[in-house]
Parts: sequence; structure tokens; C-alpha cells
Amino acid sequence: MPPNTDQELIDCYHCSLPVSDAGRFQLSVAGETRAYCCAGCMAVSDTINSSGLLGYYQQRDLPALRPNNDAGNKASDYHSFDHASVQVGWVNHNDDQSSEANFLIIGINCAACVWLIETYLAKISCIQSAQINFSTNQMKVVWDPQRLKVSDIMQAVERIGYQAQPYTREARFKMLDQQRRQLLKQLGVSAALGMQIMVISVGLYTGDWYGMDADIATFLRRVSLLLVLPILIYSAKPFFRGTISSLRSGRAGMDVPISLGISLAFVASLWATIENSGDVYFDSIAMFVFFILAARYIELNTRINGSRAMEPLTSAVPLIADRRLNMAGNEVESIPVAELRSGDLVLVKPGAVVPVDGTIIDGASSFNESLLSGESRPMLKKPGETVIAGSINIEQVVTVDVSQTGEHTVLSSIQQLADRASLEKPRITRLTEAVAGWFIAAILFIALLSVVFGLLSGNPDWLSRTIAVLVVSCPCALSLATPLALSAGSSAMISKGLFVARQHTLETLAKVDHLVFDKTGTLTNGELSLVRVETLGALDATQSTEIAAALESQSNHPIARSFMHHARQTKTVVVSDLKSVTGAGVSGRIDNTNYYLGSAEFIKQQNSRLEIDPLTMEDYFQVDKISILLADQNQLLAVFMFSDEIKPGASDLIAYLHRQGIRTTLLSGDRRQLVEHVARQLGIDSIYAECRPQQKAEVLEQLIDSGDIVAMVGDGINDAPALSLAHLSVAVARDINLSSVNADMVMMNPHIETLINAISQARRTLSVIRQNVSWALLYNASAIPLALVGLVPPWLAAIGMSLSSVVVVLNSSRLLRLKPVEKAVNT
Amino acid sequence: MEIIYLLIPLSVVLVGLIIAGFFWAVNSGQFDDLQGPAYRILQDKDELDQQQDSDPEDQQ
Repeated sequence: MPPNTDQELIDCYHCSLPVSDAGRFQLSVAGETRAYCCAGCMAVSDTINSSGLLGYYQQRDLPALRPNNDAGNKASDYHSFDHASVQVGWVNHNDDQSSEANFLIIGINCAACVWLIETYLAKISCIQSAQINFSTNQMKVVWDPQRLKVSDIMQAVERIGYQAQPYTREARFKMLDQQRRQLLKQLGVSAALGMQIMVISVGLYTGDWYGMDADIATFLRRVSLLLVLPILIYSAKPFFRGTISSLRSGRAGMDVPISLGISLAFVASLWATIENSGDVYFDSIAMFVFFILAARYIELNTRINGSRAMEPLTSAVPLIADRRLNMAGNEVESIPVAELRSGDLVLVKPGAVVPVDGTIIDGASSFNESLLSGESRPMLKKPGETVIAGSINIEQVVTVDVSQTGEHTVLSSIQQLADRASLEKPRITRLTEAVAGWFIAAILFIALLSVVFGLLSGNPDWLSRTIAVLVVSCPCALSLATPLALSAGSSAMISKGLFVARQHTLETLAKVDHLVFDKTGTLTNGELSLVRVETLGALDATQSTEIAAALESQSNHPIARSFMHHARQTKTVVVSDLKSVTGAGVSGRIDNTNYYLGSAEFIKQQNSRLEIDPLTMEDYFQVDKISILLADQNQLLAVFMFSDEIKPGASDLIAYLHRQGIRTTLLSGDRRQLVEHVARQLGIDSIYAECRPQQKAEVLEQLIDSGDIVAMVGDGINDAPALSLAHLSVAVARDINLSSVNADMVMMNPHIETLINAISQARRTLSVIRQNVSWALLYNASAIPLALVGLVPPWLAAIGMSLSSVVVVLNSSRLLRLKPVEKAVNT
Repeated sequence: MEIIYLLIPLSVVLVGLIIAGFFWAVNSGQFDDLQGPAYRILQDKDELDQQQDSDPEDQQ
């Protein structure tokens, strides 16, 4: 049965992408028939079903990512990971005959994924334990190396639709993790001891009110002093360090009044404890230190998560390469990429990722360089042309002369830029920090005034007032205001598969008033599917499709893959004399008949006797479709039409954007007719077609010059000039290989309409930040004068300071839940 | 009220133990994943027992 275009769309049971041909991939799962979009999804679902793990489908809150073992039967080759030389850094051998390996799992998007992988691996008898860290997607496996190889584990993970990559922890992450643990310990010490001090303080305050034995009061004060010492020495260390470094550089950092307040309060309390007269402020010190450390901890966590988003990028390049022993023979050896030297010859198979930068010296093939340029159309490369590490070889085996490896490759330099950017502080945080800086200078001045004034007027209260000013005015609500809201805002988005990779993302996204789609493929399913078969000769549609699929069976081209989806359940057809002309077509012999499959030019070239009537053909070569012809020696047999359908949610998204006053532009490298076709269907404001990357950049420059805040939505790892120009870049990770992205925000699901959630959440986050900051400023502005005139004792100052922070925390936590997006009103 | 001369030092010792325990937990990585365990408790592994007939290795 030929597929047709107007059938009802069903979503794939596994990955929820629309199924183009419902009858093709079906499985009976728990008594119900389920349809799949491709053989890969079906194979994965079959494995899950037969392992008794169907609970996954009930538990998950997000559809799975489409597995990349596309044909379903062609498992990736992981055997090279069994070499001891490649296992350095991520496989450890324990004393008790077991081994331990660290992986980074690609494709996890909800907690059910973690359950699925862990349970599936736990069933394999030689695996002692498999544990996944849901926050970082790292997996630690302990197993018996005598009975199971590393490659078996990686293959097992692939069978259920994920990818396991070796994970070597970089020194940078080790450092950040250590910093995080250190801060957590300091926070814990201040919390535990602080609570003790509070308890004792309550006793002391009640004693002040109702009267207390002097002995007991002295005892309680001394215990408090003892308890506060670790807080001062251990927990408050970062503040004193910060003060020293900011004094050295001559700036008033936030640490200065903090340290000053703590020191002053401590010295006064110490004096009071020794002399047994006057007030002690140990409780204020403990609370103060605890709240500021909590703010720092939250901020550090947000920064670490941001830079983690970049991690999969490092794994884009394989660890193993096939080095040719000599130019003449075809012998190759597997060698770790790290050991390759400039001048080595490397064999790159079709479907493999190019491990190095280099020049092709033998063979020609097309390469997908979307990792670097964002251009998803394959680039044809001949001997003498350069290939870049991270690009994917699509068609033929080529030999590459290595020029750069490892950290000298183009890909690596992009990663370094991405890393640096992710550790930057967001502008809005820097702004509040700058405000806080001035604020601090003002507080120090006011505190000084209060000392001078108190001494001159002989008021015995001056010390208590000064401490109150320093404590009550602590800008911690101000410093919590931004990081908390950003962290809450972005963690809610992860539940929708939206990953905030940069610090400035939410702030910029909220202000965006012009959204540019960097290619047609972002709004379409991004994959060619066979939508129509027209027969022209003696064979019917099914026969023609079978022949075409057999001819394309050796190819990796997108069109070939689409045929493969349709050919799985048919009998095997033996093809001989298979020849392919890169970028034009294939020919082969089946049952003593020669068949040709390709563009009209290709068919003419191959068999000049064939008549191709331009008039009848016109009907088949439509704007939004790619059509190829099948012919034998004597006649044309069929036309296959492929199309890239528009994503279901795209029109909702465009309608929402227009309602919000955001303009839309489609900036595409595709043919004008196709771009116009898509734009007309969706109602996009303006289009630029047939743009080369450089032109895209120029268009974007114009938009930016005209004052628009531009976000660009693309679908790959992009260093195209245009993307780096945009104020914000959003990457739609189409399949799990491309989940690693040099973008400000990554969409880990194929549903483009989740951008609606992203924009509304970003706007809410920004407004919460504004509320938080105004509240903090308002609180400080009213509390300081009160403290100055002595209306606020230090203990009340500490409570007020904490309450103002609690308000900020509660307000920010509203962001943890996504606001449901209002449905499009039909106009 | 002399009892507090005993109870308060006792509580200080307790706090010391709590902090020691907390340090141990942090150092052994208990706080490294704060999201996963929350879900893990909901995902029972009971299904494992019912499914001993299908070892994933055998399917290969």
C-alpha cells in the first residue's frame, strides 16, 4: 500500500514523533497494537517489552528521544573501547576482581529513563551495580570483567535507546565539585552550630526578661562563645578571604561589611563574655553566616549546572581511529585518537564521526558538518579538501591526512569558548552585585557615622546600634534575589525538556522581540519521509518501493534511510553491480534487470534512450517535495516523492509569538519556493531564502542594528557567524548525537511548541527578579534608618534580615512550577 | 537547674557527632545527586522478581 499524505497522524509509541506510515512498524505490546515511526524505535520498544520493563512508559513524563541506531538491526561498534589503552581515565580495576567504569549517558530526559537503564543493566548477570546520577547523567557501573566486556555494557545501553559514552572527569569539574562540597560543609557547620546557639539565646533572652541566675547566664554565654568559634574559623572563611582580596584590589566587595559586621559583633560579644557585662550577639553571627552561605551555595550550583550542559560536546569526537599502516595496503590498526600525530593517515568509514582535522587524500564523500556550521545539508568533499573533527562522514570510505588532533581542532576551540561563557556570571547578577557594591560602601559610611556620632554624644548604645546597622543592612536578600529566581526558573524548564545552558539565557529570552528560525528544518520534522509513490510503468508501487529500497540498502543518505523505513518487512532482494554516484543516484542489477534510481539528470546520463517528458514530470516535481525517479533499461517505473512535513506544534508557536508581539523571520538556505511555502503555511512575518551563512550573518546584523532583541532557533551545534551574533541562540536537539550544543538554550525534545513555555517562564522569572530586587531594596531602605536611631536591637536585626531573605526565597519558589500556557484562541 | 551543666555539654557533644556524620555524608557523595533519589523511591523494583525468565543477555 503506498503511503499517502492525508492520513491521520499518529504519534510513535516510543518517541512521540509523528508516524508517517502507521502500518509499517507495529508491535503488540501488552495486548495492544502500537505504531512506531521507525525501526529503531520499534527495536528499542521491543527490548523494553521483552525485558518486562514496560513500567517505563507509564512512569515517564517526557517522550524518549529517537534512538540513533536507525535501521534497528545495525548496532554500533563499540569493540574499540575494549582496548586497555583507551580505558585510561574512565575504567578502574578493583581489588576484588571487579571493574568500575564511568559513562556519560546521552538521551536521559526524565527520571523514568534512569529507572529503565538501571533496571535493565541490573538484570544482566555479570553487572553488580549500575548507578546513574540524575543531575549529571553520569553512570557508574561495577561488573565482572572476566565475563563481560565494556563494549557489551555500551551495547546494552544502546539496545534500550540511549548512548553510553566514556566519561573522564575533567580537572575543572573536579575542582568545582570540591568547591561545592567544601561550601556545603561550611553551610552544614553553620546550620548545626547556629541552631544550638539559637536555643541557648532563647534561654538568655528569656532570662533577661524574667531574671536568671548570674552563674547560668555566664555559663550559657561561654557555651555560645565555644559554639561560635567553628563558625567563625571554618564557615566564615570565604568572607574573610574575600575581604582580604577585595581590600588588596581596593574595591568594596560584599564580603567587606559582612566580615566587618561579624568581627565587630564577635569582638563585642567576646568582651561582654569575659567582662560578664553588656550584650552578646552570637546568635546574630550564626544566622548571618548561615544565610549568606546558603545564597552562595545556590549560586554556585546554578553555575555548575550551566557548565555541565556543555559536557556532551567533549564526547562528540571518537576516542578510537583507524590508522592506515601504509598508503598501498588496506591494513589498518585501531589506535587511540590521542596517539595520532600530524601526518598519520586515518580511515573514516561511512556513518562515523571524523576524529581529527585533516585533508582528504583518497576517496570522496559528503560530510555533515552541522556540528560546526549548523548546515545540515551534506557537503560534498573531494581529495585535497579539508574535513573537520566532529563532522559525520555520510557516504563513502575516505582516507584523511591528519593535520590537527585533540585540543587543537576547530571543534575543541569552540568548546573552550563555550566553557568560558558558561562560567561567566549573568549580566543581571553582575548588575545587582554592582548595586550591592555601592550599597555596601554606603552602609560602611553610615556605620562609621553611627560610631562617631555615638562616641561624640556619649550614647552608651553606639556599639549595639552599629552592629544592628551592619547586620540589618546585609544585602543578602539583594544577593539572593537574582540567583534564586534564575535557578528556580530554569530548573522548572528542565521538566519540559528545555535546558538552560547559559546564565544570561532567561533574562535575554524574556526580552526577545524578534525570533529568527535559522532554517526551514527547525519548523519541519527535519527528516525526509516518503509521502507519495506514482507508478509510471509496469510495476506496482510496492514492487517499485522494494526495488528502490534494495538499491539504496548500502547507502547512508537521508533518502536511503527513508526507504529503509519502508523496506524492513519485505523479503530480501539481492542486488549485484551496485554503483553509486555521490549526490546523484545509484544503479544496480536485480534478477538480470538493470535499475537506475536518482535525479532526472542521473537517469538521462545512465540511459540516454529513456524519454523523460518535462510536462508530465512537472506535476511530480513540486515546491515542497524532493522527487527521484526509478527506471530500468527500457522505461521509467516510478516517481518517489519525499517531503519534510511541518511540525504539528509550529503553527501554535507562531500564533503565540505574534500574540506576544514577537516578530518572526525565517532565515533559510533552502530554495525560495520551499521557504515561501513553509512561511505561508505558518504565517511567518518575513523570510530570507537561499542564504549562505555569511548572508545570514548580514541579515542578523541588520536586525540587531535596527534595535531588535533577536533570538535565533536552530537545530545543531552552531558556530555559524549568525548564531554568535544573535542575542540568544536556541538549539533544537534533533537526535541524540546533536544533544551537545554550543547554544544558550537547548530543547531536548522535538516539540517546538515548548518554546512557548520557555518564553512565558523567562518572562515570569524576570518579573520575579524585579519583585525580589525591589523588595530587598525597600527593606534595606526602611530598616537602616530604624537601626540607626536605635529602634532595632541586633537580635531583631538578624531576624529582620533573615525574614527579608525568606520572602525572596518564597517568591522565587513560585517559579518552580510552570504556568500552564493558555491555548491558542482560534481567530 | 544544675542539670543544664550536664545537658548543655551533652548537646554540644551531640552537635559534634552530627557534624561528623554530615561531613562523612558529604565526602562520600551523598549530596551529589539531589534529584534522582526522590524519584527512585517511587520506582519499585518488584517487577524484577516476576521477570526472571527473561534475562536480557539471552536475547542477543
